Amino acid sequence: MNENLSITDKTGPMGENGGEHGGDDQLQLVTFEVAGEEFAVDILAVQEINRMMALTRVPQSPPEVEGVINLRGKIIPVLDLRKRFGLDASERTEHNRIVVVEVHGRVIGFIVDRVHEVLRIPSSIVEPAPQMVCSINSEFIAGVGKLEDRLLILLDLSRLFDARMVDETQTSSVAA
Amino acid sequence: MSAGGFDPQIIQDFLTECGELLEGLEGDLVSLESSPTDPDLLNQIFRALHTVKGSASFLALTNLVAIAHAAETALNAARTGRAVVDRPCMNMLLQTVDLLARQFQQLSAGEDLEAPDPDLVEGLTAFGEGREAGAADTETPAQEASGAPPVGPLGAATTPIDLPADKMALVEFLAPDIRQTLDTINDSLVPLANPESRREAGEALAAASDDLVRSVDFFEFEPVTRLSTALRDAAAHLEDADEDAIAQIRPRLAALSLLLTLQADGIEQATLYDWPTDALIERLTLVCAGKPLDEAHSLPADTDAEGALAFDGVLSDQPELAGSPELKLADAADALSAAAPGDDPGAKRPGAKQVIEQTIRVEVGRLESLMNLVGELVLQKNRVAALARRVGAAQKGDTDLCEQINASAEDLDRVTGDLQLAVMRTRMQPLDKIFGRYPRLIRDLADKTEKKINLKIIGGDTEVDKSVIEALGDPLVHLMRNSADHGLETPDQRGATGKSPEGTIVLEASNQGSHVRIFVRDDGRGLDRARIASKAVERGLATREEVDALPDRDVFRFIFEAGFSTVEQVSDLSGRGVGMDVVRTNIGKLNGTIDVSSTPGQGTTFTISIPLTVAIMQAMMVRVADEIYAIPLDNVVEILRPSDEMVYSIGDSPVLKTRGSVLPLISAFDAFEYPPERRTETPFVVILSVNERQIGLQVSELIGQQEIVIKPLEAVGRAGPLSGATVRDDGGVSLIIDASGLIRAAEGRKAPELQRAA
Repeated sequence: MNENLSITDKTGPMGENGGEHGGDDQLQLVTFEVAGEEFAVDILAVQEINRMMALTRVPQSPPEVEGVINLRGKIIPVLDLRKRFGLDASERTEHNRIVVVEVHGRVIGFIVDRVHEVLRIPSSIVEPAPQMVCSINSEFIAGVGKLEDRLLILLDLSRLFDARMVDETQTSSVAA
Repeated sequence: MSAGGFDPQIIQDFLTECGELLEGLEGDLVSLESSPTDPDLLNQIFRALHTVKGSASFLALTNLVAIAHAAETALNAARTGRAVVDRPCMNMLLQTVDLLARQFQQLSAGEDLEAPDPDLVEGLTAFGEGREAGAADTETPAQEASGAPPVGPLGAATTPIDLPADKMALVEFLAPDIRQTLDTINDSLVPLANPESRREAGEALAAASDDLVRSVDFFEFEPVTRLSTALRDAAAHLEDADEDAIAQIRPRLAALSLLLTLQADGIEQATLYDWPTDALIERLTLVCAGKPLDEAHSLPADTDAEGALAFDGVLSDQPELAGSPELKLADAADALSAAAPGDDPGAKRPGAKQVIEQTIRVEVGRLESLMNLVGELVLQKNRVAALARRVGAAQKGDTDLCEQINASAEDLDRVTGDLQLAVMRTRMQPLDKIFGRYPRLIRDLADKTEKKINLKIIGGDTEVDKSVIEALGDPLVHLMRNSADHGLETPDQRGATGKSPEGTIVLEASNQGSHVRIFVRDDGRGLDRARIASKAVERGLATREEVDALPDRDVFRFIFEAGFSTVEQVSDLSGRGVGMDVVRTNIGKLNGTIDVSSTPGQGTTFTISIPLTVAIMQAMMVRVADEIYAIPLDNVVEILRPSDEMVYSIGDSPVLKTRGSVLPLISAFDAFEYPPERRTETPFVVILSVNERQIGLQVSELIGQQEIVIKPLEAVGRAGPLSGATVRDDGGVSLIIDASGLIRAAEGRKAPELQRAA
């Protein structure tokens, strides 16, 4: 998925290219809001977007794991993106959504403040992340998309969810 | 020698199929050691090796074929009574199995297969040939005829064999292979004459000729394939043939066998022979199809193989026979004229193979998804049942509808239950699958420790879930090693105490409702309480006073602690103090328990109890503040609502006094880290027990018993004392409490109290 987020200097035409998904020159993204910033992830990584549902808290789990949900019979962990970014938690609203993504074969849900839209942009307008783009750790950022009126932060899902949590899974299974 | 170029699926099939054969092989070899002349066993082993070799040669796995062939040669000598498998030979055969297992692993890892140790190959071959030296001369008579003769035996046209190198390397195995199969075929021709033994002989013949076709097929030697195919096709119809037909068929089959023997000789000299066999085969086919032959094409009575060849025009151009083939003709003629059916083990064995396997191979993945679906269905069933109850409560007016919904819910319940059982059974495998490995293990252990050990396996047909089987393998190996290494004494020691010099280890499995019980019992020296006790004190697991107050069984249980070993000398086999700890952990992962009992001088018994399946279980649902947890019912001893005087503290730790015993008490709020603002009352106590250790868990409310489907929780990363999660009938998720984890956590906090209580 992340190769699509890689930044190329090709300037392809919008729209016609590559059918459903943007190919090299087009990015199709799901955009959402967390703590006032607009983020985006590649649509191919997204399995589904659900309304908030009751979470079952898991004692002694990593702090950013809010709990688990039943996704059609499969138990998946749900993380709070605010906590993952090291921000303060906020009150839940009716706009909160759980975005379910698959990262390296693991299905994970994360809570966002609200989901905006599905957006198609040329990859040429995506630039590497500057050091200080917003309040979040720049290692989670795959790039920044400069739209006419606003900035989109493209998230690197594998960094956001993978390495650290996989490590923990391994240690916990050894300890078990 | 990798099997490059072959479809990975073919390789996988080979590994699966031959892997199973290999597993059986080891056990059979060890059984063979105690009854080295058992013909059935010899044949079974021979056949397994033969199949492995055959499949491997199809994949051009030269190194694998070479060793399998050598072992097969040795076994053939034993099978035909020319030699008896002695200890050195058995060691070589076991080494062969080890080598094959390694080669299988290398194949599955995509590596080159290691070449067999030449000494091993030579040793096996020598064993196979050494005692048949006398017979070998008559066996390969044509070998002396050097060079490629322009005219082959019986006037055959000759073609030199020309093959790519990889096939060429395998050709040398073909000739002995053909001869071995022909032996069986010739043996079966005799009882074929007798109507009573015809059926059996026909089956044997069909099986052997089928083998032959498969061996030959790979090389694409047209004349050889033609002869063996004709033989096989004819053999398939023998059952229906009447007396007259048999009289026409038998000599012709003998003729084919004879020609094939000559082909085998030819192959050794890189030459193929070809005879005008069309008439012979055509007539054979006709008779076998139940069509009587014209008078002109019918063999006169009592025609032998030679006569049949002449009659059907195979020899018409060259009526004179070369010297050595005559010998073979005589052999074949002997086979025809001899009429002593019945006492021939060779004829019986391939017949057994004809029993068609009533099984199909299914990918485990498919069964797993089926199991998941059934799990889903159970959850939905629970929801429907819950809804039906609600409808029953709400719809006071329309009782008819209510009853119908309830009846339907009950039917669903029953059908789902049956389905669940049926699917579970598809995943069940007999414990023999792992028990089968242990005779070899014990044999090697006996060798290394210089003890005499008799392993008795009882109840190996007890079935458990596949995942349970896999997880049980290692713990059982540890236990058996312990018994063999520490438990049993040397023959001298045993003799001194009046025991028989041979120690016995009994591995016994039996069904106990939804559980399987496995005993590992030895009649050795028993556990040394004093030594375990002082080791426990030394390691700080308990004080001397505490240990002295404990009953034997609790003292013995210290051996399951990590790093606990009472053996001074770390031996090659065990005694590193990791085994028993691993055993307990692995069995705990299966929601099982292990216990140990021992009598000094009489032996030690380990008792393992595990659920038949790990996917579905009965649970007690409890509420803790606003969350609902599931507790495996197996761990629940008792549920009570204690009065105030039953609960008090020892030091800082709360305890529960019930029925004369004092149990440590844990609040679910503490165990599951509830923040202070969410804590409410916990008036109920669930008494949990794992391996006879008990604690009380304080909860808010009891909800009831439910069948739950266990889902893994590993995606979350680390978590508290939980063994998984399940979906409730309202669709929500409940976590499953890991009682042993909870007890361990409690022990960590306050070991002395717990031990006193337990």
